[in-house]
Amino acid sequence: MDLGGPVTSYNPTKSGTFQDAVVDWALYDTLLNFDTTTGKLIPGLAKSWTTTPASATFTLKSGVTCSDGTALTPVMVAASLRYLLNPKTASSILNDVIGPGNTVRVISGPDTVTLTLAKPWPDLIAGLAHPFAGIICPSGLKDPASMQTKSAGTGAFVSSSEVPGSSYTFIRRTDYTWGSRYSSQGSGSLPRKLVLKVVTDDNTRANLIATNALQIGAFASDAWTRFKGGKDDAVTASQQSDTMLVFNETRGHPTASKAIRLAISQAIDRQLLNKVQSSATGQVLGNLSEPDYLCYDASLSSAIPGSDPGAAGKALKGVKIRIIGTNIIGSSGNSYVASALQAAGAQTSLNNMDNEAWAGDLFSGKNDWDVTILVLSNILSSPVFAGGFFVGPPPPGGENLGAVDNPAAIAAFTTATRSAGAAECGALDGFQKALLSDSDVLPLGTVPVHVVFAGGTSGGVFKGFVIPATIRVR
Amino acid sequence: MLAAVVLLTFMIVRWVPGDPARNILGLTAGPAQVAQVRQELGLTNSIWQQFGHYISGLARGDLGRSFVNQQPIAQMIGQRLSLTAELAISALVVVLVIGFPLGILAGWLQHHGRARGFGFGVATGSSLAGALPEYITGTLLIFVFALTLRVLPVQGGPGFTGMALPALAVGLAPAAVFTRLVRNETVSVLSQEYIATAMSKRLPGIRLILRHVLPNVATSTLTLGGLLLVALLGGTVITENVFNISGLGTGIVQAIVHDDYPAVQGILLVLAVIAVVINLSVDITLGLLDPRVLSKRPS
Repeated sequence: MDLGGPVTSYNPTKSGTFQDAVVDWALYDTLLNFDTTTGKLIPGLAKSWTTTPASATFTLKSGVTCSDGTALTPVMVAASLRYLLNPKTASSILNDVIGPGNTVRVISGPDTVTLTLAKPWPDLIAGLAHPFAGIICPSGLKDPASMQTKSAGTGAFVSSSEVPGSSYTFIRRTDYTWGSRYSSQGSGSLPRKLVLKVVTDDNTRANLIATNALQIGAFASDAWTRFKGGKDDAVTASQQSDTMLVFNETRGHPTASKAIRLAISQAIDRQLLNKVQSSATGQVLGNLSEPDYLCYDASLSSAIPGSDPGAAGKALKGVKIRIIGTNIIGSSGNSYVASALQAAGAQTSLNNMDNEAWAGDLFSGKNDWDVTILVLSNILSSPVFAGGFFVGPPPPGGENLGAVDNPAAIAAFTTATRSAGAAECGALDGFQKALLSDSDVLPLGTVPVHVVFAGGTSGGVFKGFVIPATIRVR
Repeated sequence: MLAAVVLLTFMIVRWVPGDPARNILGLTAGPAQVAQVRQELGLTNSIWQQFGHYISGLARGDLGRSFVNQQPIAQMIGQRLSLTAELAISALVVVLVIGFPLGILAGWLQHHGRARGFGFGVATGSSLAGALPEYITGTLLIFVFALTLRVLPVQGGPGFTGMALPALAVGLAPAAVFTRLVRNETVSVLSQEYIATAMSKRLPGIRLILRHVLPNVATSTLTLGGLLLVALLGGTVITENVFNISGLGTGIVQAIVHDDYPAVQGILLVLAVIAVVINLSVDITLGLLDPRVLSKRPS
């Protein structure tokens, strides 16, 4: 199968990229997993779990062994979690799992592991299902640098050899019996050898599949259509990223004014944008969530202003608007936003950048932009995760990209992060309503990835990622 | 010259927008984690401290480690250089194998005023081929030989089958330029008096070409051949990406995209050294072949 770029490390706590996620899923197990069909949490290394707003207790499966043969014990799992959640480890998902500035205590029992947070945080268990929260075996914890080239997990595969930046070869574990049971699972057997080949260009990827040099490939562009209806090819569409329009509300920016933000929202036809951006294979979002996310509420979409170019034109005439965008989802969506605002009379400038430069600019605090399409891969399926970009300090000290200062939203968000169940969902509704009615964000659409399974392969896809343990060869 | 390369590459990679630490951790990491990784990478030091560190490493022959995967840069270059060298040399073979026979034949026929259609064909064909950029040639070759005829793989790699298409993609355009050059040289050599003398002795055509024409054409085209090899190295960067070959070309693109400063610096430095070495060896070879180049006496 293919990877979109080089792998950072076989150490899950050092991971940060999409390709790292796939590699971690192959080599490591997490306590819980997301089902590839329903998106719901299913047992992983833990066979059951209980939660309170500020804690979670996992009962572990027995008979799990590390790739070096060591039997995995609750003490080892606890040690791995402590390493992940230690701020000194600098895991990229620390804030997503326990919340910004929070601390955690991890205690192991005879067959359980319990995490207790200083302050409640709703994404704790979803966070522990993130591939970067893979449980590391003692050999890896003892010498984290060794995981640069050698895996130390309980996953379905073990690292075998690699040509960094080019290809990574993993071998199946024949004794792997404790894996998650996904609700839809193809027939056949797990491949003996899994070669992850770095292919950066979608047309090259398609050519490789067409000549049988590659069996599984994930496409962000429409190059996948070459395999539509193919005799031996199956295509799975999966929504990978959520996009939303974010406004820079820092003082001095035109977008600091609510009237301008509302007008920009009215100038954009979200259905048309979805067509332009993903040939209508994405879904138009009704709020910060997709329908399978925690606390999804379809009624929130009524708070989104409808397309009204006439009204937009009055407010936007002659206003200078600087747009920056990432090319990771192609540049057509960004271009559409620029042209829609231009059509409404604004003077727009558009700066399309590669994803790295775009992210660097957003988080630099340079504030050289007014409007951007934020592209988020919300692996946790959590509105709290997406909401984190609209509260707290602005960059460079925080993640509130547009320096949004919405007291009602902040209050609701704080309540949501401290409660559970219906109370949490109610607060999240209030949070999103507050953002939407103040035009602090305009939800746009999802961006799909199309995965082609050729040559008799099948597999489960979650958020655009092929889960290696679900790959089957007939 | 190399000192300038070292300084320039060091500065240029830092002018490219983007934050390596943010890059490694992704969009979702908190500022504290980013700050910590930035410190681990040594990016919190002043730019002059970083430069000093880089220079002192270079003096010890240490190119540093990749920001992305901590692999030593020297090891990374070692893995990738062989593929790029194989591609560049295969492409040079393409250039020579096409350029010399075709050029000399065209020149010979032109000199004798025969087969004007052939000469016209070579002129047109080489203009067309010379104008095609590598990525278009590469894509066309893939379409014909890999997807339609299915005789060669899409994926480039070591060995004849893996290198055939990439070498053609890199080599065809320079081969066209080279053919024209050889033709013109041949025509001018053929009109020299000593050739007329040789012809008057009724030497057979083949012998005349091998003994009298080829060596003279070779010396004058060798300079360009050396420059071509340097240009071929440039062509490999694009072609490697088309054929998904993990050589220095894909390496440097990957490194630039991921803000991997040490990797960009290392690869550019190695490419610069190779260019300098090739140019130098061309000059020396020329001197050995043609004493007039080195001697101060006017010839």
